[in-house]
Amino acid sequence: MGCFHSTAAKKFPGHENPVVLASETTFSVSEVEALFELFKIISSSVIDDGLISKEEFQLALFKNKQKENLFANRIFDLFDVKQKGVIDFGDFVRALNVFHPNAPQEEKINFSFRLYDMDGTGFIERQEVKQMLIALLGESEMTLDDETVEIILDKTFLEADSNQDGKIDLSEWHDFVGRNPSLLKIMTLPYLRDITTTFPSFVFHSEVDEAATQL
Amino acid sequence: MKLTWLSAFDIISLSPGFDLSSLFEKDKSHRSDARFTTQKSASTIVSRLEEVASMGSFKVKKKDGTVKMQGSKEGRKGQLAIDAEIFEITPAFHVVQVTKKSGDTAEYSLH
Repeated sequence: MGCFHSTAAKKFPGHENPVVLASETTFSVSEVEALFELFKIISSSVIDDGLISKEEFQLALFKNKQKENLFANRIFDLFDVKQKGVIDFGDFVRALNVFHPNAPQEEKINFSFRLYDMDGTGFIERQEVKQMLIALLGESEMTLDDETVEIILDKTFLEADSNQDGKIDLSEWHDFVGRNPSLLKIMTLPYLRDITTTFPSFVFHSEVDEAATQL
Repeated sequence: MKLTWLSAFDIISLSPGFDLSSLFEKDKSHRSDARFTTQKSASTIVSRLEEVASMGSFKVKKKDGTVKMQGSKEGRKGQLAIDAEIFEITPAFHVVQVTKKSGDTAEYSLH
């Protein structure tokens, strides 16, 4: 019987050794293994190929695989670092790392900036914010007339766009978030602290234990 | 009462598409917070909350845009305490975020 990692690597493309992932993130080895249990559930829900597709992501988030959502798409795109259209286990762990309560603020600020910078120009443009605001209003029961939308955008940009060039750069975002810390609330998942209790992985699946018994 | 103003980003971040906690929750009925929007004025919202509170024998305290309600009866997990925070988008449009602060989730859902 070969080591668990190479078996997992065949079935789960992009699966990386939990010890390596733990060393590169805030997660412990057992937390990475718990994340693997969660990853297995999500990645097998539509097609059992060891990868999370957009459909599977939507299913996990909304319990509805056909629900298209602008914001979930942004998250998916940022998780899918290699732009392959699917999220592998390494991507999953590294992205969730940013959401850990103990992850550095800097990383959360950068991630949230890229989230809102939809076209990846390195600036959050007014037009992008307007598009997201209108999308949000569309998905909720809120209706606001165009004039009110413009007022909200005006006030937001007055506060955030310090050099008043019509777009928010990373350093302006940094300052804005510093003054409005509740904006980073979406960037922390308290659940990640109890991940080993929510998704216990059985001892005989543990790679670390296997490696120990092979000595 | 003085309310927090919501920027475009505050509003955008309300989307469930940004709420990854659903990935971890097996049972959505155990959520301990809820959000809803209303076109009533802030004072109408507060009066309505006070009405609901008195029907459930809650003590009410108002502070900084939040209406704090505390149940007087001892439930299974202590007294039920609920915060309802009111945010202003425009004077005619508000978002109310209701969070359970302590007590039993089942009792909280009833209210």
